[in-house]
Amino acid sequence: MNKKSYDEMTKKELLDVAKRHEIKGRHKMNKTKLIDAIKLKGNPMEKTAKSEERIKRRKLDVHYGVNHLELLPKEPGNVYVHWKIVGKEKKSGIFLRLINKGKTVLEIPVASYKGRGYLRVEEGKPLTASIGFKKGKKFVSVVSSEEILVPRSKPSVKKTIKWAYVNPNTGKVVKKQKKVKDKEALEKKRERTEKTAKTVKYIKIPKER
Amino acid sequence: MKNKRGYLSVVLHSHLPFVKHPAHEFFLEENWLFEAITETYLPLYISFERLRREGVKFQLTMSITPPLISMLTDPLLMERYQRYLDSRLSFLRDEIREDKKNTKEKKILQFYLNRFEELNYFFDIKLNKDILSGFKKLQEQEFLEIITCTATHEILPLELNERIREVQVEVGIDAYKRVFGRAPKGIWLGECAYTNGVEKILANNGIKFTFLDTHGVLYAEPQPLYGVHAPIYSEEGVAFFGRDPEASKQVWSAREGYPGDFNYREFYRDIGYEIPVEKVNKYLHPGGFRFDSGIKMHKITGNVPLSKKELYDREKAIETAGTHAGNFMFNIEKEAEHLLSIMDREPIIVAPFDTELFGHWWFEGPDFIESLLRKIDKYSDTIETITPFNYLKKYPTNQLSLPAPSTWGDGGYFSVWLNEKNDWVYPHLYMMGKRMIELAEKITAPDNTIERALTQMGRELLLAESSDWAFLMTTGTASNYSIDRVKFLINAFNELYEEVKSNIIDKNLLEFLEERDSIFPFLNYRVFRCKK
Repeated sequence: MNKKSYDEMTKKELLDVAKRHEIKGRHKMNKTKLIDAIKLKGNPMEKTAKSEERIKRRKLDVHYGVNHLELLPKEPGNVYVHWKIVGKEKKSGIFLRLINKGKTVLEIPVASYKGRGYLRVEEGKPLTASIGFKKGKKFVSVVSSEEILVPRSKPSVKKTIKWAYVNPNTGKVVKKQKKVKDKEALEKKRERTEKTAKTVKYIKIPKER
Repeated sequence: MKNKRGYLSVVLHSHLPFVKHPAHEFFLEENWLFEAITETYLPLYISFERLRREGVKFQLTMSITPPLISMLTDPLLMERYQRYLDSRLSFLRDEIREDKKNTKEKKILQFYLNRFEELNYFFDIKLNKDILSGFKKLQEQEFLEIITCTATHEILPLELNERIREVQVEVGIDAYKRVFGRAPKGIWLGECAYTNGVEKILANNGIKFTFLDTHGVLYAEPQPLYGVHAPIYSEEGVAFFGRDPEASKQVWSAREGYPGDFNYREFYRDIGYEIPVEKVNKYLHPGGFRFDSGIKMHKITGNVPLSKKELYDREKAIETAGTHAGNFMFNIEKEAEHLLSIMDREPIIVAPFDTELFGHWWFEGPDFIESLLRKIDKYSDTIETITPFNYLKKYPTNQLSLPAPSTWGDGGYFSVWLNEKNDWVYPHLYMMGKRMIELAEKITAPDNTIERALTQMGRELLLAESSDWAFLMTTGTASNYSIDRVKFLINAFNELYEEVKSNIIDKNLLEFLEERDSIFPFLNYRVFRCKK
């Protein structure tokens, strides 16, 4: 950073500073006028530091002014849920619902219009969440989440085998028939691979000391 | 032509988060990049070049992520890297001139001096401070297949806005094309994170293949007949290659991996913590901060405290790397032979690694890779190296199966990036994504300043989505830096959002952000519009 005072600067240097301030008519000014004009605008580096400070001191926007509900997959059978309801709806009788293909799989009362936590759910299923309240027997949703897929911790049970030829250049997909040699040996090898993958502990890299 | 029985596909994933602090003359976290260039990227490049000159045939896949591309093409960072090299060179020259070391120490210092001189020659003269041009040339000569990555290495399954997932892929491809002059054939999904639906985005963007951890392919539906030893296709024709755990564990296993051999260089003992304070001031940091200099004089030695480590013996370490390369090749050959006996085609054994493992964490890693590639070409009757795309050309018919949600992180799913320490970030990312899309849709003809502010919002958003911040919060290393960084990015985004909405832009702030968070110079906010 330049520590020179404006009085020590050459006219060319002052013009550079004036340019950063977008000071109009700077080329017609003499040194004294340039310095006055710059002082009036303030030091740009100081202004940058001020901008940086302003961003650092800003409070994190906690609600964004609208209702929102986030559902995220953590691992097989475990999801994260976070919600925030703004506005003046009633503050009691609120429920959180988890829904799989239109069917409610979990319904729990929640105490507040904002909250977060982890929930145990069935693995391998698509899921959405909804926050709402009850009017009689009817559930009135205030906000819903995007749909997620809860991860699965074991192999698929489906064994039907279909093949496709994909043209490496065009990407065109053509379904194909193909004979397979030794399914049993292949299955054994798959099981061994799965076992190795489950037991190996890979290096966890420390990013610094 | 030898009759090969299987293929080895080594995949090196090169990534660092975008860290640039122009307002600070020395910023410690910028050293992550400088260390990786010094210990990994340049040594690997030099090894590949040596193999090419020797006439060794090899094929290797490398992903280079867009943040890394942005940093390696940033003039300020490359200027600072030159300063990093220069300071080490003058330190080493002065140390050797002092002439009070014992012969063994002197020999090691001389090794480092030669090494830094070579690095400097390649960086400054041969590559003209443009490291990527070297890798690009190796790609044009068909030794390397370079692939791209999601724009900022985001964990796509934790991104709830569908459009933002697409943007991560689109911007990743755009960043690649601008440097490598053609579209990428493959993509590395940040942390190999996959969930259903991602395959459609990849297909729509012309991506032909990607990689998953073992269970991402093994748990695919229906069951993949060949396990991870042949790719599977999604319905759209995107190929998924799964990691072979046997190959990975020899190199990557915490317990039995090669990098722990006692002859290899010790990572944690560095002269940066030992030289007198005046030398720290002179060569490392004018403020007197002690940190890794990259000059490490000792070997792992054994399970002894750092103070008991013995001096490094370079010749012995290189010899060990060669032995390990031979052992690795032997094991791959055995596996390939077994697989061929039960499969009706040559198997592919996919071994993906973080590039930075080689050189930065395992100093002799690039020597291991070089030796492995040379040995396979010269001595193996059984295996050959191949890129995934060339394997697909050889075997374009594969099983249709939809991969399973997974990552290659600890535990295999998302808990490294989603837990009590970092889950507060995601509601912000979700809402910021919505705000970005909303403005991109609504504002069609902004004036120049508003357009710049909108585009800068896009940069702040994409940077906030980097998986690295959540990772660092979990591991606890550089946790404060990553928390501050994410908060800053969120605040900068929301500040700009409010300014754009009120039509009053603070130009000083905008300029400051444009200079600091300067990733993707080509970005235009319109990319966030939903495709009709």
